[in-house]
Amino acid sequence: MAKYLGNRPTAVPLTSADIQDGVITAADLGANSVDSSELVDGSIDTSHIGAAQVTADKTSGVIRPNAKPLFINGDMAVAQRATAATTITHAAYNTIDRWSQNFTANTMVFTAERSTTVPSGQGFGYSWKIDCTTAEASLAATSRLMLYTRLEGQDCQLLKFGTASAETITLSFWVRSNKTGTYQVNLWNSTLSAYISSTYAISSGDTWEKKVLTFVGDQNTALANTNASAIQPEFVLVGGGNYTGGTMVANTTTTYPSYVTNTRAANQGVNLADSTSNDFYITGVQLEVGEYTSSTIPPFQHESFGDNFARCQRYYQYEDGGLGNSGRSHSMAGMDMPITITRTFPVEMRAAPSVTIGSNNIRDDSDSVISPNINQVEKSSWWYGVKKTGSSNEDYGVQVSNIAFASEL
Amino acid sequence: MANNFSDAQVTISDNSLTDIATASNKTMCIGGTLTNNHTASIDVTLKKYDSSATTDFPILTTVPLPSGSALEIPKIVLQTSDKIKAQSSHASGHLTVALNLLTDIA
Repeated sequence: MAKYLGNRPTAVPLTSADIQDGVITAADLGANSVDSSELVDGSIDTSHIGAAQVTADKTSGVIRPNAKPLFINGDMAVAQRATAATTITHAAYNTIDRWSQNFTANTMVFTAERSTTVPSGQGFGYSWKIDCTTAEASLAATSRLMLYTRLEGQDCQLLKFGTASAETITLSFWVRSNKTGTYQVNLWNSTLSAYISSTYAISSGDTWEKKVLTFVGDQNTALANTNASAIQPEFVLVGGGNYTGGTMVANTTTTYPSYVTNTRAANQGVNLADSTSNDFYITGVQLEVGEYTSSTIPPFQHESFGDNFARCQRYYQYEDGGLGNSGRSHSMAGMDMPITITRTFPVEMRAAPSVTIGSNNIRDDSDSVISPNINQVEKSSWWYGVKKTGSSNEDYGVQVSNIAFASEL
Repeated sequence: MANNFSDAQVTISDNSLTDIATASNKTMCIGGTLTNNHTASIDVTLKKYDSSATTDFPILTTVPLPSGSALEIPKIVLQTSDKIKAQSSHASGHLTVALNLLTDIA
């Protein structure tokens, strides 16, 4: 055979067509001879990986085996407050647990609801629908509508913010709107009150589309390791003049700059408030540690409703039940003394919650309203006391219902 | 008939299939080189022309040859009127072919 004298050719690399199955075995590969730079996206799929070939010690730290999704209620299934259309207000959780909005309006009005309109074949039962019911075609400078969820800092330490190893984050979601165009998403480092941004396009009206956006980690400022908000994705739907005009902070910025108002919707191309025909749906929102593309993003982790609900209860709990025959009741007969009743939350809350008491929530045995006297609320329990009035030795009871506990971020 | 040693050197300056040597009797090419004189890689082709079949048979086909390198040619048996031909992929050739021949083989 002909032999090369001098350099062998290097300009004509082998292609997959040149290599038959079995030609190259592990013995033919030197240590570190194949790394990610030699592999194109999609070149290795499940058909190329044998059973048990990938074990836990071969996976990188960005994979969190058996961990629950970082986002809570990303499938919009839990809606303790309301499921029907509810007028939204600023920083209020109106319908879907863990999902709220920044909202300032001149004339625009939006409602939110848990919708059964979902992307087909993806395993979702619900989406979050935002519907414009009063338009504001010409936006006031201060008008804004931005959807968000928030994560506690102690749940985000794995992102390694504040170090050179800060993880890139991938945000994925299903979205649908009649309003096509460019939408902006901001990823907040709440500890720093700073964010970087990316955009996505809804290209087909009234059609579900899956979007995948990446954000590099903030190498400059660590996330506070507390139960306060640390990471907050913010989906811009409306941004008035105060929020535009600046230069959007690129999603590759490794030192998040401090908040500047006019970048918050700088590249938002859509005003969802310009017509009462407008609506917006979102579901399947997931946050992954690491950089993924639309072809490599892991599937949405579907939790049981019970697990999802319990995770939501860390931030909101609601005791309902009719007062006539249900609710939580306690009674004592023939007693003439104060009673104190301690209740333990089924899930310890993030912090001592605020309490919203519905009307007619504590009654005596004759169904007369008495004033509640909530003695103390802690994150794990609360207790209240009632003292009988009137003649002695009569039966006495209380029923509790329609009380909400909130410790939202 | 006594055997004789001979040689043939041709510098190819186009990309056509070029005759390098024609056997006047039974001959053996006992070695040789295809040398790339260009500053970039070229592809080279080497063929043996069988006069009895009036057909070119490939020996090397579009083999990449890096700049400044050479390919060593294997032994090739030639009958009378057989030829060795070479071709460069480059429009200006940049290929030098050198053959070492043993001729007049009985």
